Amino acid sequence: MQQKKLPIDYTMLFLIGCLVIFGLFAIYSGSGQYASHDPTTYIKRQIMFFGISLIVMAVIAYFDFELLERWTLVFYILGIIMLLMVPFSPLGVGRNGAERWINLKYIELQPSEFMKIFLVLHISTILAKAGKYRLSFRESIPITLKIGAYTAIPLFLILKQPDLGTALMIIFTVFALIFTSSISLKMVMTLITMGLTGIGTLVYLYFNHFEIFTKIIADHQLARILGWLDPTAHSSGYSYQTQQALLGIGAGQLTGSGFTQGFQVQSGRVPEAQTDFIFAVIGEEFGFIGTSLLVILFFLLIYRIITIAFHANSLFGVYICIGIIGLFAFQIFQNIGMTLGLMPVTGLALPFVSYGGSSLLTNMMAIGLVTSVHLRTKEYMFSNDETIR
Amino acid sequence: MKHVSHMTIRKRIVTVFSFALLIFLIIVGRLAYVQFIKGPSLTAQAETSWSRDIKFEAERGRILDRNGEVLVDNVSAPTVMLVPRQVEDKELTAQKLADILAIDVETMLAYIEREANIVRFVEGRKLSEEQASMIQALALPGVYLAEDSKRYYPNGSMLAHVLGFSGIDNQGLTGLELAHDGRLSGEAGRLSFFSDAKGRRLPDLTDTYEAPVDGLDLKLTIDLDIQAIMERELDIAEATYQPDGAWGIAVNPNTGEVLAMSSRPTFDPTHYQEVDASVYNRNLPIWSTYEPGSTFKIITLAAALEEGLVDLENDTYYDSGVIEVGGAKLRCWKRGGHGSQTYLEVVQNSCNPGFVSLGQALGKERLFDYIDGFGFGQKTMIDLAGEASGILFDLDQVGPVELGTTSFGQGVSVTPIQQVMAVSAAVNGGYLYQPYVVSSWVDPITNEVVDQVEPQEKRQVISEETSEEVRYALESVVAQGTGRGAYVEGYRVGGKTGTAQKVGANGRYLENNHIVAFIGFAPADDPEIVVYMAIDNPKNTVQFGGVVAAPIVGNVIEDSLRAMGVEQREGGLEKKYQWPEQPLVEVPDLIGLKQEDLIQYLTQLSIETVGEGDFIIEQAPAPGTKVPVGETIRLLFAPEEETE
Repeated sequence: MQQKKLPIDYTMLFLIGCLVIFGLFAIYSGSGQYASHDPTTYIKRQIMFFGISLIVMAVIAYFDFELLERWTLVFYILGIIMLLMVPFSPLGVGRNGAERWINLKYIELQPSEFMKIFLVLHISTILAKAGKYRLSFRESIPITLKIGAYTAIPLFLILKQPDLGTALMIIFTVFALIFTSSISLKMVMTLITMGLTGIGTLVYLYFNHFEIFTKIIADHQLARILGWLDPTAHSSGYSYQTQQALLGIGAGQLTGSGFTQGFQVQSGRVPEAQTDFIFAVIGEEFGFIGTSLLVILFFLLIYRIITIAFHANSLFGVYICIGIIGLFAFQIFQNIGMTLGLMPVTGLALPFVSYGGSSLLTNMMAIGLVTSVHLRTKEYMFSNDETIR
Repeated sequence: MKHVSHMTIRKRIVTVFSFALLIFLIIVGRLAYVQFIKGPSLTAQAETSWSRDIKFEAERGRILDRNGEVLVDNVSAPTVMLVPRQVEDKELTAQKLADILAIDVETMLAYIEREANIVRFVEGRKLSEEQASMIQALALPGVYLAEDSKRYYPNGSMLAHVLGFSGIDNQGLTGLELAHDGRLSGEAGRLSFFSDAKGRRLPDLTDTYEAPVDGLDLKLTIDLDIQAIMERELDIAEATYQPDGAWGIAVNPNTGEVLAMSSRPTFDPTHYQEVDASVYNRNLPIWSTYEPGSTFKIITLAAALEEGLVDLENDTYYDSGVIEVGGAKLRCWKRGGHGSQTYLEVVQNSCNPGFVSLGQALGKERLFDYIDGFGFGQKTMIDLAGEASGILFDLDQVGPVELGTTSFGQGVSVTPIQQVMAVSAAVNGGYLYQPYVVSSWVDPITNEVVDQVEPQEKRQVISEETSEEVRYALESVVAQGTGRGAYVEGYRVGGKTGTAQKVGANGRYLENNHIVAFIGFAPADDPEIVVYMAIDNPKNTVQFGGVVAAPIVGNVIEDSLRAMGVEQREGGLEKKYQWPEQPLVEVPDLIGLKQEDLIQYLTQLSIETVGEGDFIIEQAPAPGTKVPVGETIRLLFAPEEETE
């Protein structure tokens, strides 16, 4: 046994630290300074969240993730129960027309944030059991159906909230997992075809049977999609938000207008400047230098996790890493993309940067899991000469 | 647990990684596009949207009369604006503002709760000074007052049709306000100062101030004094005669400058909503068309003189009271006719058959050439909206009857402004001018003239000599003929009556419903003003231009020339010159006569009427009394003849 040392990956911690500090500046500038009593309230709370999250991360990293493998179903069921509590218990809290939170007296939790981690864990277990060798198409069918079923239940509950962003994130992540797994490539192609057919059907319904279309896609979701496709024609609330954010980012140009000097942000034109639209704050006040630095930080983080997955000597660990990469990559792309007008508006936060406890906690939990995978990999590398080629 | 990461899986990890890389490249690419390529244009867009926050309205140009007297001005009318995120107590703010603005609290609260940086709302615009100072006194957070102005028409309804009015955004809606909206409105300026959500200024962004460019002042040819005189006379006429309408024009015959123009019924531009659109859209002096009646005889006279067809002093005409043309009988207004007269007397007496004879001498081609030459049948192109062109006979369809009636002003349809410009040409030496009201554009700050409008001469219609003869003939009409009501001692007024018959809905002439008009000019040796006044269907009077309209024109000319500082003349024709040997006339027995029979007595006596109806039942002084020429006879009318 080797000496117990802090279960932390310093490279990753450094990257995350940078992201969080970046976030603190943007949070202060975007909204924090306008908090009614104490301009540092948001900052203090975010730092507190980060502290708690760091401990949770360390604890998770300290435990051997492989022990989790047997417990993933339990976590999964726990996640489902929490999700069910939103609509079916008096603890459920609604805001802005969506019911996503449960109120635990002292804190409000967003069950879907936890659910996505638990789902990744459970699907990783299923895929790990399938082994490392390529399955035939026939062999892939039962496992694909199983994953489909496990995914469908939380997906349905989340769509009901409604939370299209998280739902899409889950679909994207599960697909990334299936793609990386030993499931037959033919099955992967089949799933892609099915997905495209689904989208095609929706488009067909939109143009030819609008009454059926409206039963599947809610009005406000359609408004967002139309606003995204043509911002000028649908100057609804959503496209107004993105237009204002985009004006700010554009006005930032190379060097930005400076900390707390972004006019679009400071005049309140950019909505949710401390959470969903925080990237607009960075874009306007720190310019291209700031935004590209942020994107590079994210890229390095993803790269770091990929490296860990690459060297992991446990299939379960590989899948955990891939799942977490899927979650992060989708959130980053969706959040920045929405601010830049590339994606429709959804309520996804920018990992580690946006203000918010639940999001920070679950993201740090994910980092904890990745760290755990990393640490166990090292142990094996030292105790065993066999390489993993 | 060894070799777990199988090649397949590793390959796929690499694929996932490549995909992630692609995503990041897309983001960076999009960022570069937004921040570099589109950056400058987005910055400009954003700055425009910021600077729109504080807009400085340009001061709309004033409208001035020819002497710089203000006809249309601006007064302060602040606008209240809200910055909802700065409002602390929404209910209280709504309550207080709703009280001052006299609107629902719910409506006000809805404005305050609107999701916008700055809320402007219609009830908060153009506040009175009291409302503004009340709001200012409240000093509510998030409630701001912005300077704005509204149009002020200090003279009320005076010149309303010409000036027009403007709407809530100070945009011209009718009249000159509309026609010259662009130059009057100027360009709004803006202060681009940058502030954060609390309203604090952002120190690193420079304030840029673009001053508004105020609209130019519009100087008119209108003379406020003359306008006021005309309005006063029309007020009196409206009170005296309760007409269906009334209108007047005064121009400078030597330039075409309109000195005054009025149309009744009228309206107050500040409260234009209170009247029907037909009132403010119809500037009757240029909009209405009707038979000109006797004023048109000036054209026939001028044409005949120019062609050398008549010698006013020496040629004579015998009027039997009727003239037969093309099998039809055209009657003189005086029953029994005027007997033997010189052509000067034909003009003085406004003798219809006499003018028919002039028309016949001219022939239809020449007469209609002159009618065209004097500008009838086409718009005068005055710089006001809503002008009509009038209707003339088609030359092919003019037979002897049409030629005859046209000679004394029936069967043609003309506008008042056409008559005024034609008569101006007849008396100013023969030059037809284009009438206009816009004199110049003046820079409001430097008072420099930016753009000066010059008189537009269209053509010379008759010679200077002919014009002089026309002036002399028309002066004699006022001194000795049907236009004596317009006589002004010392100002040598010339003019002509006109009693236009109106065509009813069935196409026939209306009974006892005339437009009575008079067109006058002075001084006759060198005319400086031409005045036309018309009263539509005056009540309680004899509907005759010489009775109703001539004295009004006389008053307008007298007071206007005084206001203009025109010197009095000597050597003009004396009133009553024609009857030096018979200073007194006998009052005829008028009882039992009908209203239309009266006209023939009016050359020597004035008449004042009481009561309604066609028949005269009482008169004072009694028949047979000797009175001086021009004495007023009071008559009592009743609907039916008294039978005893």
